[in-house]
Amino acid sequence: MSTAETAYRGRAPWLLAAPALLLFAGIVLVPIVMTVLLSFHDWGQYKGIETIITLKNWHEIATDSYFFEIFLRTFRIALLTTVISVLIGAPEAYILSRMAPPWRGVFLVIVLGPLLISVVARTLGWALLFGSTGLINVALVRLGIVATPVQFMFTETGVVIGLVHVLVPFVVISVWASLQRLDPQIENAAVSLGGSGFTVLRRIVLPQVMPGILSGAIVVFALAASAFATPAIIGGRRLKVASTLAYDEFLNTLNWPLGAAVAVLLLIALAAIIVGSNRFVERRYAEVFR
Amino acid sequence: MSRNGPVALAFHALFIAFILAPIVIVCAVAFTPEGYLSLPTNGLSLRWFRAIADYPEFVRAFRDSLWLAALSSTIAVLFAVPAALAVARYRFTGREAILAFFMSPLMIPHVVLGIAFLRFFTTIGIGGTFVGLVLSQGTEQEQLIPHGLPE
Repeated sequence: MSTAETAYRGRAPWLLAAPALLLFAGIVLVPIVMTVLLSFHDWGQYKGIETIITLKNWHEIATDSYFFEIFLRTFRIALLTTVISVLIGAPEAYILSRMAPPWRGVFLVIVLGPLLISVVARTLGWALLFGSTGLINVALVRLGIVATPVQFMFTETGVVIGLVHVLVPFVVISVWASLQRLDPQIENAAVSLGGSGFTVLRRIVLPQVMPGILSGAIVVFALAASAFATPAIIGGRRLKVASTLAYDEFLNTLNWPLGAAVAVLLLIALAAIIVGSNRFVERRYAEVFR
Repeated sequence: MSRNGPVALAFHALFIAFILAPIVIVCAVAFTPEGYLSLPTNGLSLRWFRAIADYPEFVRAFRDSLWLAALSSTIAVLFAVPAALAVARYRFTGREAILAFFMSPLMIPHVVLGIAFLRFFTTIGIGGTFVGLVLSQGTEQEQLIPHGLPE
């Protein structure tokens, strides 16, 4: 009886997970493996895809500076987006945590609510604001800050602004979560020992929320480097990043093997960066995760 | 709990304005009576909402979106809740590996997943069909489920 029960308990989690495992194997694993294989196939304007194994696409990506430039731009935009998101998101989370209850709830909804709104709708809003007769440029010219309208559309500046808007809530959530674990008595103790407001913030609060800031930053970086909708709408076809390049190779040039190689390279680069920085955060702040 | 100073509140106001600006502008423009973009507009109009109703493609796109959301989230819940239960309530060999496997699409750029799906579905003959769309959306949503379950 007891052995039967142990056997059942041993199998139960596998039975529960089986449907999802099969679905994942069929719909995630197989297509990804096929994409990796596809990146080694040959392609020609007239012959289409040839199922031979060649390093042609990878050689092209490695040697053509066009691809290097696009990957460099992708990670430059992602890095800039991450830095700005942290610089404005972390203080905002701190300010929110110091607010009195009714306002705190209201503003938390305002800040996190946009995550539920489609990225396309929000980015279109920026496209409306960015134009040379858009509200931002009208305001800047009227205030005398600039003489001629600033070009936001099809520029990296515009893409970064759009991405920060889409991704900054992730920093706020993550920093907010670590602020909630903070013991307010430690702050009070520091103040009672004569620490100024700034010293308390820098030496007591900041070190404790650092893991929250870093994990938020990793999420933002990963999502910014792989973002599609925002660079596609604001950057257009003139300012390509890795994801819009892969998309273009697939749906416009129809060079699927090359597109697959770009996609696989993006996947590998991103996975390496995320795993690497996760390791760093976990090792550096091991005591916080205990 | 100490209060926020004036600098903090000013920063907060700017931050909220930044978050709300594009959303407010999209909503405002939707009600413009003009055939072009102009702000501030001369009055409000439901002209463009009527225009949506007049275009069968728009109406169909809306209907398809709703069906896609309903079907794919149903699939995601049906498959993910048992899997989440397994991972959250049982301790077994391979648990960590399964969890990592289920979470892996979070790390895969959506455009890469989309391309992989496109290639795969074209090969098995359901490329460009609604079934393919539902399956891929369902898989993408599935990873969100385990977060909500307490250990």
